[in-house]
Amino acid sequence: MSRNLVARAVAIDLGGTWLKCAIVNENGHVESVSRTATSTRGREAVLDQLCGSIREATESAGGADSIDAIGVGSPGMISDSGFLNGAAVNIAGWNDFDLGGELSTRIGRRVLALNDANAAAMGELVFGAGRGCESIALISAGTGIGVGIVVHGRPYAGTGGVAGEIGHLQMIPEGRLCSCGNRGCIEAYASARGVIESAREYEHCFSDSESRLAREVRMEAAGGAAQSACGGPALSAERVYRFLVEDDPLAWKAHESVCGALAYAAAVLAVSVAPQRVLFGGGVMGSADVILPLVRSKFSKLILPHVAASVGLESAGLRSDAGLIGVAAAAFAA
Amino acid sequence: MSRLSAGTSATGGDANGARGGSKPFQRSMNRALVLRALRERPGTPRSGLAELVGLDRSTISNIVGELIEARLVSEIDGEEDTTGAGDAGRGRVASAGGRDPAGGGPGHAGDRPRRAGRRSIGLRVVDELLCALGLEIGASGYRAIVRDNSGAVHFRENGAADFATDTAQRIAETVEAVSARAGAAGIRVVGAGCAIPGYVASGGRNAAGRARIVHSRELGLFDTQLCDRSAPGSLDTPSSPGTTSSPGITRSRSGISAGAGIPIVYDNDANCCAWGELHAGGQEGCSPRDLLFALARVGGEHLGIGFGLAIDGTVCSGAAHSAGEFYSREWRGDERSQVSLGAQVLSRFRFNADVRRAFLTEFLGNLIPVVSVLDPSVVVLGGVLREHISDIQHLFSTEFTGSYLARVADRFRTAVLGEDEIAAGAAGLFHERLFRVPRYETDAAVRWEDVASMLREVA
Repeated sequence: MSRNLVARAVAIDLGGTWLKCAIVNENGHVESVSRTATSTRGREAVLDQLCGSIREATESAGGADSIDAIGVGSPGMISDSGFLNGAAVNIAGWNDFDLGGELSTRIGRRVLALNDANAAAMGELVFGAGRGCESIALISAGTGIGVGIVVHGRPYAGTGGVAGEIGHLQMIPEGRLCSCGNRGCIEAYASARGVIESAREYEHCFSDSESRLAREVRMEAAGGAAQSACGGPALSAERVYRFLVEDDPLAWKAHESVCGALAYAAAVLAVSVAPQRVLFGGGVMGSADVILPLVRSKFSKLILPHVAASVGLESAGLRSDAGLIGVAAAAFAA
Repeated sequence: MSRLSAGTSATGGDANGARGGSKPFQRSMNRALVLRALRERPGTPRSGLAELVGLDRSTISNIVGELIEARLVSEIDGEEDTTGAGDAGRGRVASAGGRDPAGGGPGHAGDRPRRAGRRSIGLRVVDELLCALGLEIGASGYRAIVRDNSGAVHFRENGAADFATDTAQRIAETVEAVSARAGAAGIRVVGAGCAIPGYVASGGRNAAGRARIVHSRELGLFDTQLCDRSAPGSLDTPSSPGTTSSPGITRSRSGISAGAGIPIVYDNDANCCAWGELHAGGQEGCSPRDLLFALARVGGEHLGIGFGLAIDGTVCSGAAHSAGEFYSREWRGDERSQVSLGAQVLSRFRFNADVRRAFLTEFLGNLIPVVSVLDPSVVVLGGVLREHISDIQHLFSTEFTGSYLARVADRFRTAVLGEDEIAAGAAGLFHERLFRVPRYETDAAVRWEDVASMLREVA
């Protein structure tokens, strides 16, 4: 136990653009946080950055005796042992090596390495909307779909670190073309891009007078000049949400498609891992209070009633720094 | 995570390390910690146990003394300690869901020799006395196996019985009768596990404290309470006078032993298979800690499919005991089927290659999301899936060539226990519950005190 009598961890949230480093205590309180741009010079440079951040944070906290745990959340398929399988596409050279082992050796004490989605799920379990549960899943729907799973109070990564990789599961055979090249993936419908594609797919169902969003979609399709003339910003998921709040029928239609995909993702999790709660986060859930009831409704039709009744679908509780808090929670639990 | 034990230091507490609170529960928990540690690391000496479970040596000595007297633990021939004293800092006792301690084997956490040349005295659970009955039931019959804690099979029996009617009583009677016949063969059964084709609420923490069948298609049951012990009273050997019989069951009015019956624990059949596979040794001689067991079994007119999921050495039941629920995306609502093929078509599964191919293709296609999400190290195939493994392998290389399943095909294998997978798994379920460390007083489905009491009866 650190001198402060409250356990503290150095937690790092490594992303393709930013590296965030924080001191987080066992109550989930972020005592300090710093941010630097992630190096683009390859694996060694990023490892040096990580180690430098850990040492700096440890020093600022009062030395090694003041830190009880160290953890790093990273994109990529990281197994339970901390090995990064395959490649994290947004960091150069970040592939196929023992991330946890490498950091532990360089720092001279154990450093937990885990996937960032699993870290976020762990944060929700301990400090967020998953409190009181033993097993949860967190679906983050934004640019892509990320899923973190916690079972029996521990992050679950699976054999190759790919447990929860649900974004590119085929939901609709011969469905919408996905960024991965396949068709009908969950991500093609449930991501931010999926929201926009759904709006475009269904615009023909509504006249200009019925749906302002339909009018905007048609103007966007007609060309950039027309869009500029309209004075509106480019079509985005956020923009579609604003129409949703205004009760625009095309916005509802587009979100029905999103909700169907999220419900399917939750159903797959419900019948495999059967978590006590499935939490939803990420930019697509911007209007969670509007979207969640529809997700729940669709979810209840996909599986048996007693299963649907036992798995709670809720909005994620943590907002900013969720990744850092989750890394700390996982490091304390390791 | 911190160690589970209470009474970890020499300050305060009674001889068994209990401090305040419910002393009987704390004693019970510490005893369970010691037994679980020995199950996972046979040959550990007393000093090693102290470091593993976090209890002081005097407490360990007292507990071990009780367990030896109860015949649950025995000392094994001492081996020279080559590990060095106190070398046990890496390990901790795995609670349910925890990880195996690193290392292992006799002498790992060595006894510090009091004088030169003193041999350490390792301890082990007396596996051969902990015989559990594993019962696989269907609508019209059962398969029973008696296995000890090492996995050795001592007794087998198949029989006919109608488990769709008076299910709880029928199971209890079957356990009692089979145990009696095993007893007549010199094998004392200390508990039973029963594999149910359907959803099972395992009991223990529910309001009634009893297991119940939530839903079983094969048995046609909903919300059916189960017995936590076999039929009370007494049973004699089948050949004794004064016996009466009902189909498949023999019962007598005079008997050898009377009492509360044998404790019975329950779980879904696929979950039981997963338990069995976790301790079966695998094909490489070591058991996986993460696995997905896919079971498809024919019961009457019904071809049922279920999954048992194990993560980090523990089977996950999930919320509402629904982990492993299977319904095909193409399911059309036939209550007697879980795929697009109706029950009537599926009844031709065994002798119609086209039906078999259609079923297996649909099943494997729907397996992709589950395997993809779970990423298990092993996918074990049981029941008719095991029987038709060659058909499945053919589909991997034809229908599913280039798919995700084909990429992970090397993780697929058949159940090590073969056709014993369910019954042996059910026996394994009992052993698992027996060695589970209770977290609170009502948590223990099976009590060591009961087992010790049964062993005293035959001593």
